[in-house]
Amino acid sequence: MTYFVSHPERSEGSASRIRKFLAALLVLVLALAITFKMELFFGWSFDLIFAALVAFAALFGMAELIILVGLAVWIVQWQPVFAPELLVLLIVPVLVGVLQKLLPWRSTVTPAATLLLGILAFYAFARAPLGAHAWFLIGDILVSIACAYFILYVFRFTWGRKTVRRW
Amino acid sequence: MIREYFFLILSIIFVSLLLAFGSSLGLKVQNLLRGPYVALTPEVELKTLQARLEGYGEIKAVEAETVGRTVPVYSRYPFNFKNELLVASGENQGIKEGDSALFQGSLLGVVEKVFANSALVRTIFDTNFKTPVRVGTEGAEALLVGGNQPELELIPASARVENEDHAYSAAAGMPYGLRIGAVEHIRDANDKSYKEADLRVPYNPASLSEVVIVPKEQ
Repeated sequence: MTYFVSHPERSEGSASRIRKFLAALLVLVLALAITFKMELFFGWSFDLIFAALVAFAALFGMAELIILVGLAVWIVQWQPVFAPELLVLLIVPVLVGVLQKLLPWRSTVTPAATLLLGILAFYAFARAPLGAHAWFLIGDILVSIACAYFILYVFRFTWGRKTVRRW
Repeated sequence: MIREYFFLILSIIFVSLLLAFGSSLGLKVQNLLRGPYVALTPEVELKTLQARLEGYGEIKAVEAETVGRTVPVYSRYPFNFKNELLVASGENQGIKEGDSALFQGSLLGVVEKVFANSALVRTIFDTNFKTPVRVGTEGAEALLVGGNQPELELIPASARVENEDHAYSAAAGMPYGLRIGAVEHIRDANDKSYKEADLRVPYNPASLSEVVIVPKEQ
């Protein structure tokens, strides 16, 4: 089984870590822009922001992850009060990051399982009629999972297995 | 090790500050990434003008616009299933829950929540939006169900409703007779006792840059 994260004992240079973080920032901005534009033109969008954040949970340490997640939530927040579904967007990637730090195993399917459950939880919190839009939801989950693995692949291709998470 | 914990604590403080104090800047970033609202195409603009010249509903809509308050749209819900807008007027400007929001003379939605200087409008494109309406020249009753493609449901099978008939508001608290859109793709509902149809709005939903808020009728 392929692991997307390397052995924690292998360290990563600080310059490489900064470059990787900047690349993640660009990916996040791209995901945000595509989501907003799709929502504007079609009235719907894939959950690319969530997909990017879940991918980042497998690539970054807690400090970088908190910044990326916080930045995403800060930008997508659209009203003065905090929406309950944004808590899912905020908590799920951080929780995955914490669990990956604490648990001894790393699995390739973690991002897919996280996105499946996370997207369902997200729309359940948003009180969306999930049953009436099951096909759209399935498509959304599949595309989001594909997007997350694409991001993981690009980062692993660029930085190899030196993707150590740090606290 | 200590340095890494320090970086973690700093990042938490930074994000907390962002979330607590920087919401308007966040909206600016959101609007920057979204790009400008789309201008109306000539075809849609022509349809809107034609619609404005037709019928009672249009006259009511124009009347309602004159008593309403034009407010810019701050932001919109960025995910699926919900379709909500944040508009730049709230309690301090006299906006109340249940007020109607109009766009180009057509009913766009209803004010759901009111904040000090902003208000949240749930639009007819929201999957949880439902309101009674009337359709056609005979005023057949129907239920408008929101969504990416709003639909008219529970139209009695015996009602004389045709494509291009107008749907207009008939809910309590909402100005009666506000135009909502035109009927198209009429079909039998599953149980054959009712008909249903799609609702075509006379504007481009992507071009919502400002709306008119009309007070709720007592």
